[in-house]
Amino acid sequence: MEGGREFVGFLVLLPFFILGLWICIRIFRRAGRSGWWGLLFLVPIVNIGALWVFSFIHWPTVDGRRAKEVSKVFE
Amino acid sequence: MDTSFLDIFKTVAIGLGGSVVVAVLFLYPFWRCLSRAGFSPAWSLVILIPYCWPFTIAGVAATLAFVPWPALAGPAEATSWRALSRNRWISLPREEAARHHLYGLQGWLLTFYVLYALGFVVQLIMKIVPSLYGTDVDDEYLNLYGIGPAQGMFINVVNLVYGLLMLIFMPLKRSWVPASIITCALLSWLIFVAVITIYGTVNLQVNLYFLFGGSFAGLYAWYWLQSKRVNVTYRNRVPAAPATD
Repeated sequence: MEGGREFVGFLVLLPFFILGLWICIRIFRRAGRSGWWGLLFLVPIVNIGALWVFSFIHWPTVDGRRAKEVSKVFE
Repeated sequence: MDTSFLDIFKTVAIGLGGSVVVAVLFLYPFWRCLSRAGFSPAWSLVILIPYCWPFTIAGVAATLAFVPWPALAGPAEATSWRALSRNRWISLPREEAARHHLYGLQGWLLTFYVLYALGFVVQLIMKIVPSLYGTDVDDEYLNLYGIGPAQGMFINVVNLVYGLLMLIFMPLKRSWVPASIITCALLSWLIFVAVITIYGTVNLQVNLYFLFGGSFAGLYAWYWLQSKRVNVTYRNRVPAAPATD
């Protein structure tokens, strides 16, 4: 009986996990990083560390674009 | 359950300490991510509001995932919120700002000042001469929020102190005034929510009070950040576009 309730709880939470994973993958891909990084956000505690790392690492789409425009100014 | 004034102070301090832990864990990375994507990082401050952190995390994630990033659109100068913000205002020497037509304690600024002064005087009279108010303030706190006289007294003292600080700060016209006023407004609401949540009875009506109080504190903070008059008077900077008050 207890196992059945846990399974129902798992089924209820599953769409939220998938939604969270999809959102994380989208964010990483928009920043120009691999979508595999999104898997880190499903691991408790590790996800807080991953958030800190993500906020500091190089974002190719944003930083690359800025670097390209700065280099144009100095051409 | 009645507790002493000091017990309430300790509990509120622990609660605020918890907010600081959440802020340390999430606030700075959220601030950086939103800023780098070109959004206003001030949205990450919502995480400090009790009960709001799950919505903030979901909101920040959804914004970064689905809303077009301002950093990826527009000219190179507009690739971060800080740059966008810098472009919107032109700093002036204080003497020059004082000659601007938006300078001074007038308009909405004066309206807020008068409302705060009236509220402060009414609260003070209620505390000094309760009979003038007609009904017992302690009974009202008990009926509305289910808290005892010590907790009611604590909320009153906090409101009076922050109200007095706002009345003293507002005419000073210094650059640190807006941040101090916003802190006073948000902290007085946070402490109100913390005391009622810990010691009182939280029902739908009380939740609505929290919501209205929080909305007002948020709007008030937004006014102190964005108002042209506030920026001219306290930060000595004028909008880059022609101002209309």
